Amino acid sequence: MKLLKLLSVLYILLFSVVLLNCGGDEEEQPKSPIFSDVEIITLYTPDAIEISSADTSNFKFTFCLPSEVSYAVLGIFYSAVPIETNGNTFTNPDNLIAGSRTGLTGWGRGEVSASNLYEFDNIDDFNENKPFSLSGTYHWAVWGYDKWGNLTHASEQWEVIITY
Amino acid sequence: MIKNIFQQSEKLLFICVFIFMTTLVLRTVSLYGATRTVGAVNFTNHTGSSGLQYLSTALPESITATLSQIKNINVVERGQLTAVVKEIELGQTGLFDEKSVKKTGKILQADVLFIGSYTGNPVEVILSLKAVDVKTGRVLDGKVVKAPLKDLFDSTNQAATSMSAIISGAAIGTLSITTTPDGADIYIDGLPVGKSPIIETKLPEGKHTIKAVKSGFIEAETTITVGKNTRDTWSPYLAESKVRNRTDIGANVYYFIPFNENLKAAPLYAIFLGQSFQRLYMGAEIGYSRIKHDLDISSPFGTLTQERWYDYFLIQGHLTYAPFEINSYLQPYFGIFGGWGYLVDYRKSSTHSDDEEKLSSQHIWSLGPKAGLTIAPFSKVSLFLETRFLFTPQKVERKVYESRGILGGLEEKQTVYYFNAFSIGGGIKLYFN
Repeated sequence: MKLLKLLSVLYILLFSVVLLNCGGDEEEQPKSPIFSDVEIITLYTPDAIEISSADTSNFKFTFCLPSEVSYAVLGIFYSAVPIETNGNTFTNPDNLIAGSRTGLTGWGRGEVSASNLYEFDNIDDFNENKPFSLSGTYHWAVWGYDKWGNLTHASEQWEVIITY
Repeated sequence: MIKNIFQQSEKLLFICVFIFMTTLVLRTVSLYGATRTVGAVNFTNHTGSSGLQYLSTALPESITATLSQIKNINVVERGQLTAVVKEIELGQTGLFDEKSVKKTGKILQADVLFIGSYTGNPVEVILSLKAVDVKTGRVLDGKVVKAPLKDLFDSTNQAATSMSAIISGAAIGTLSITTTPDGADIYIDGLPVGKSPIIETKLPEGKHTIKAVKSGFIEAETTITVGKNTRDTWSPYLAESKVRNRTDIGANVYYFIPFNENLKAAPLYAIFLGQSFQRLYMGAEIGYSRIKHDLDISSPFGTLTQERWYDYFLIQGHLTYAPFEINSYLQPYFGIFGGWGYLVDYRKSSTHSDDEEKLSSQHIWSLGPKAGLTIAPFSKVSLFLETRFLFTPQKVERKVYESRGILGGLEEKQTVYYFNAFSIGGGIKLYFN
């Protein structure tokens, strides 16, 4: 009898743990910055993974840039492969498709409108003459430099799905 | 016809060249005098001391060696004298007559004979020296040298040198030299002629460089043009030289100017300790400089300037020589230096709490020449100005960074270059003694 009670309690505990873990997997975004040995840049929005394409003209990428960051980049990557880095550079730069940075039209410190994104020139910068419209599934992240050009800050990568 | 004219012209040209060359040679001979051949027979010992007998051959040997350095004078090898000494017996009697001199001169093929006799003792030897014209038997010039044995050879050679002007047959003038203080060694055209005062020494016509040197005094030098039968005087004041052994400490600052364009000129501060040994100086120096080498990085955000600098610590040894004083207030010097240095490369950083990040460090050896001028070198405190060329045998490392654009952080690359530099500066010295 006692053994049966004990088994019942263990079963309930085990079930509760499994239930909690499953629920967490579904909505959680990655929590570590895309580069190692850097300070964190906090991302705010869009925190929801799925966004209707009807809303893209209104939504903004928002984030918090610490004061030490003099220059920053918002990068939009194809979502098929997550953003990968080694040291202070990307190992899959071909996945960078668009974004914005300090100095380009529409760049705001801490916010960039989805309508102010530009295509990557496939060399080392965005092409301000080629605006980019979101449509599909992407990863996005923000990284920042100090005033001497050193990569000092980075955010985690978040996924966003633009649905029709 | 034309051929004939051409041959005539050729002959005329040859005659012109011949006349020109002959004139040139004759003029040269008349300017410098004909070469005279001089011999010196053994001197006569009247001291009564067999211990001084060696002077009878040693002094003429020394005279011929000295005269052989003088222009327009040939000397007869002393070895040839052995054959004639017995015959004429000048060496035994010290007496000479016109006949024996002519005979000796003919055998030796000499124009002038040096004949001498000496008396006295090692404390003071008195030498009577004569230069006799072989053709006429006439005494051209004579000197009496009084000197202790230790100075006898110097004094004799000086006397022979001063007699050389007449011997050479050139037109002569006289020069008297007095110095304040007296007792200075006098050099005429680089040859020692005695101690000042020197009264009416005979010199061939022309320019002569005269130098007075006395230990403990600043030497004096001049150029005098002696004319035929002129009488010149030179009376320099020899300022006391205060060169002595001294110990000093001091500090200096230099403007360090590297040759590499990446490095910016910067002040280099140093302190030193030194010791002079008369005109030689040895010192040790420790120094420091902060040398900027900012790096411009081209990036999508514009040109970013990374603040960079080397902290340069050095320990060097210095060896200099001060050959003379311009006057009591200015003393030039030159020398060499070399030593060890430690170079630390830094950059400004926002990720380090002290705002600077050490990138690398390395040992660096250096050496080079230097030259300078000491102001008031004999005072208790003196100033100096100096220039240096610093040469580093090995190359210095420098990390540089290139932008990857927006694709991550800076890319690090290693470069090397020589750390050679020129520096100019000055300092202050404080003497302990």
